[in-house]
Amino acid sequence: MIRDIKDSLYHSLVYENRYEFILEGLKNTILISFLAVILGVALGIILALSIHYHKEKGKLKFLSHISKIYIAIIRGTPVLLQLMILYYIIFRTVNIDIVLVGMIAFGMNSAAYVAEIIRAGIDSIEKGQIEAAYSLGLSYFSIVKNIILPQAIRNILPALGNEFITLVKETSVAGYIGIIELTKASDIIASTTYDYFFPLIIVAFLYLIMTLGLSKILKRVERILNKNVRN
Amino acid sequence: MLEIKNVSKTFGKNEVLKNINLKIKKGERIAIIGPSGSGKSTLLRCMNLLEVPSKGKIIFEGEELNNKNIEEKRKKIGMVFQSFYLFENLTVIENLLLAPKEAKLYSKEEAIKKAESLLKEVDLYDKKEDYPNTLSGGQKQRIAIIRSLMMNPDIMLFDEPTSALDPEMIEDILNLMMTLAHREVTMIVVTHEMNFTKKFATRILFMDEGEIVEEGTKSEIFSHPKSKRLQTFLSKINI
Repeated sequence: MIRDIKDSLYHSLVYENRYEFILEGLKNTILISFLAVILGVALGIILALSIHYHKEKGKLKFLSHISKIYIAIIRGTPVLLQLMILYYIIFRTVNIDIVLVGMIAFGMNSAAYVAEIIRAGIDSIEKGQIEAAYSLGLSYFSIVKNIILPQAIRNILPALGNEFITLVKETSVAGYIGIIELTKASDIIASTTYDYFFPLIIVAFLYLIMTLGLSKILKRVERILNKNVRN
Repeated sequence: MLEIKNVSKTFGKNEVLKNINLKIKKGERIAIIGPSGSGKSTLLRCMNLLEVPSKGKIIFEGEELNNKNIEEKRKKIGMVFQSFYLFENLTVIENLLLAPKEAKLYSKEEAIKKAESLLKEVDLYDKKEDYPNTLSGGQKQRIAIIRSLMMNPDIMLFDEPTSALDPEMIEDILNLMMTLAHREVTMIVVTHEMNFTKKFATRILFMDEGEIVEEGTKSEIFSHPKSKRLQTFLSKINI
């Protein structure tokens, strides 16, 4: 029995350097998640602010509408479909690294959710503080930078953390267009050995380490941001 | 200095201000009194366009306030709110320094010097590195007042500055406002504090149902009220 386990582990990982698939998958999963988070937050802030700016100042109605439509489309369709549309239709004739396509797709997807989270964060700030800022002659962008975003981000950090964790797990569908991420890597190994146990369990364990680590980092950031500010 | 010309304001079908006309001269200290819902706060908020009038215009130092110049003009129109509204993510000193810094009003050293001297004046110098949530209401309101003063405003608007305070804090704030009065800062105050109004105001406006019903000096308003509505109001608050 112990020999069986050893055998299975050996064929799943060591034989023909199969562990390299796992490493490649891990690298791509981390790369896609990390860059998608950055793109998602940056684009999410732009989407949320374009809607907020219109609400506050009554200007740039067009941009606000586009943002709302974008959010509705992204949230209303499956991420896998978005990924496939991006790869098989939009980037079909473009010579582009497939991992980059994954990163763009998940970033664009996450942005819609991040925008909604930021919108809720902005709504949670006392309206009076924003009025007080206007009454001092501050500009909209100065208010956003100095008062709205610092408070909004502090308020939404737990929700944002959830979004990042969801994003890491969602990248597991990227294998569908041929990106070798963790889930795909385990599938590649298992389909040559017909032994699913170790590839799946190891990969599940790796996801768990990543998401637990991520939530630990976010907890720490939350603590730092809340220092002094709240009772 | 500030002129309000034919200003009306409606919220939906509700007419909150009805054709208000008012001229305020430099150095005047005006108290606006009247029952709740009479439009006092709305009128005050129209003066720096936090509320945009539905009709009429506001002329400040010879220029009509509009969307384009309001950011610039607000630097000269200080405002203090009932609920203080300090910036919760900034320390006390950062609250004071933010607007002057963005307006490039002083050098950094000058700004800090001014902030510290104002903090000493209101006895809160030892709180300068604290966050607003650690302060009492009275302390917050003193900070809010000097936050406005940092911009050297030509006029100060006070929207019921003591209504959210515990009784023992109210005196502090009123004393601070009297100090400003002695320095001949132009001030407009919406208030329910009648004793303070008598000491403080050079002119008193009585508002009811969106109109300025009566205006005058303290003896005209408190000792010889002409209109029935003012008489009823004064008898209800019995002073």
